[in-house]
Amino acid sequence: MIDAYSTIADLSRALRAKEVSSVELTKFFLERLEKFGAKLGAVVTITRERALREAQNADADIAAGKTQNRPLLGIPYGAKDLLATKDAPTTWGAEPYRNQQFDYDADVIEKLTSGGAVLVAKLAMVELAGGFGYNNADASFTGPGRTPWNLDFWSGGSSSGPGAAVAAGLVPFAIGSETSGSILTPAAFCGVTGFRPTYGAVSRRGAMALSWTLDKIGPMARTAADCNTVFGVIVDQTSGVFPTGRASWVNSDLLARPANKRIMRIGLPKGAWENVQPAVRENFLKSVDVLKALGHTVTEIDYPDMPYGPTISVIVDAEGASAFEDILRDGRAKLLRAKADQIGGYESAATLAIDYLRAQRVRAKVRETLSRLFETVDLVVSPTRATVAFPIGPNFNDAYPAIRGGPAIIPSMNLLGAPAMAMPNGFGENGLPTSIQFNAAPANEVLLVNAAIHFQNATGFFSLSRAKTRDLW
Amino acid sequence: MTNHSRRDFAKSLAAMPLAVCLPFAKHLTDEERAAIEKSINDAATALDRLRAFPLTNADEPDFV
Repeated sequence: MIDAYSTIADLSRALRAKEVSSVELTKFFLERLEKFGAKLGAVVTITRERALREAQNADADIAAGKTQNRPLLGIPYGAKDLLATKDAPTTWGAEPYRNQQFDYDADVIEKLTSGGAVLVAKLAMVELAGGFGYNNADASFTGPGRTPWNLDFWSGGSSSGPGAAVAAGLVPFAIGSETSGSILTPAAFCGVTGFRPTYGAVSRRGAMALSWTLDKIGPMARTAADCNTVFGVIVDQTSGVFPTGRASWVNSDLLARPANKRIMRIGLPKGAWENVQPAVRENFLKSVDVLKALGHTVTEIDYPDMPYGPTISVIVDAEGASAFEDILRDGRAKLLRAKADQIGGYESAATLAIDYLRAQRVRAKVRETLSRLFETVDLVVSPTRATVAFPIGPNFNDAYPAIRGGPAIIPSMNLLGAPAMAMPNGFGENGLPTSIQFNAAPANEVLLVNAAIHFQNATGFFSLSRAKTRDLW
Repeated sequence: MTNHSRRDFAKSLAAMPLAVCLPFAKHLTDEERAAIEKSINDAATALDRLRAFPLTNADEPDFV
């Protein structure tokens, strides 16, 4: 019997032991996508024909013993619908691009295909990855994404479909993207693990551009180990991001061995757990106790006070308006779902050049300052979000008006281009998951993943989804 | 241009009719233009922190 909530590692072992075939696995997840995908607002296109073809190829490779260094061979997955695929529309979540068709696969899709993974669905996303300033969950032509933990609440964005689909066991893993929070937020709101790699570590060829200087592509899955396994397949070995010239990726099984556990200096930004929901605070402090019990050195740090929010907003506004200039000029921006998005792009287009350049100059200062911070700590750890998922309906600002949150970790780390891992660490209001984020210095993925794997092995929060989300069906 | 005069410039620009600063304004209703103008004005205030951040002539942009 197939378990929809299995990890990639478990499914891979079952495939190699021939306990299940890739075709069986693929049909199982296709059925779940068809049954539950629309209910969650998580799916744009189910790629049944391609999936079955790729699954047959995977089974043939397994039978022929072509399995070495192919940890995703035969494993189904979903891709955020901003990644080009040659045999299905690529909609960018937006009505103006609903029938857009590319004649090639994005680099990430090519790498996964080459690794034997099976594309079962193009997954829903916030229109244009949220670049036009949406302020409500209903901001995709497929409707609002819903977290499987409570369907009255948002899945987070902009990788809304990847978050919900992984959490509900519709796919074992998915590919999302982040400009500023678009992997970490849905990971938090859906109770899954989200991995934002270092800027530039994963090729963006064939991915929709919102911000050329901020966009990153990364995996979402049940565990940090699974995310690391996917990263090992999609990482661009020629990116030049990693000091050795070759991508610094280490096998998840090796990292998970107790002997390979690294002891780290962990910095907790003061204020990060103060103005947050009570359960977010409680779960965070319990998580910190786990980190201390694992032997890490944990200290509170003064997080540099810089204008992270306005800096990243100006950059995204200016680059986003340029990236989508076509629909601003011809008026198709008015076809976008969210009212705020229908006019937000026009407002972004009024960004002053002097402000954009100032933001990129301030960004240099941000990178300098945060790089110095990482000379004193290995990881910066904080709650991923100050609250659980927002309700569907009200504007975001009206959802939890009393909660202001702490230092702006997500915008600042995105300005730095730093890798991060968001992981579930308990539950809060309305039975919704809470989350913790680990951030490392750019190109320090191995260290980040090592800490995340051992944290998850010590807590087991990732496995809670099995019991809870099943109740929804 | 000093920080102060730059702010004033931004505010004065925001106060102009949208048609002046946007080549796309024909797609917008009067109500939408008013909403955008208000939002730009609000943002001008919110951006003061960015505009007040000290920079020198030697500080280059970082496009990553």
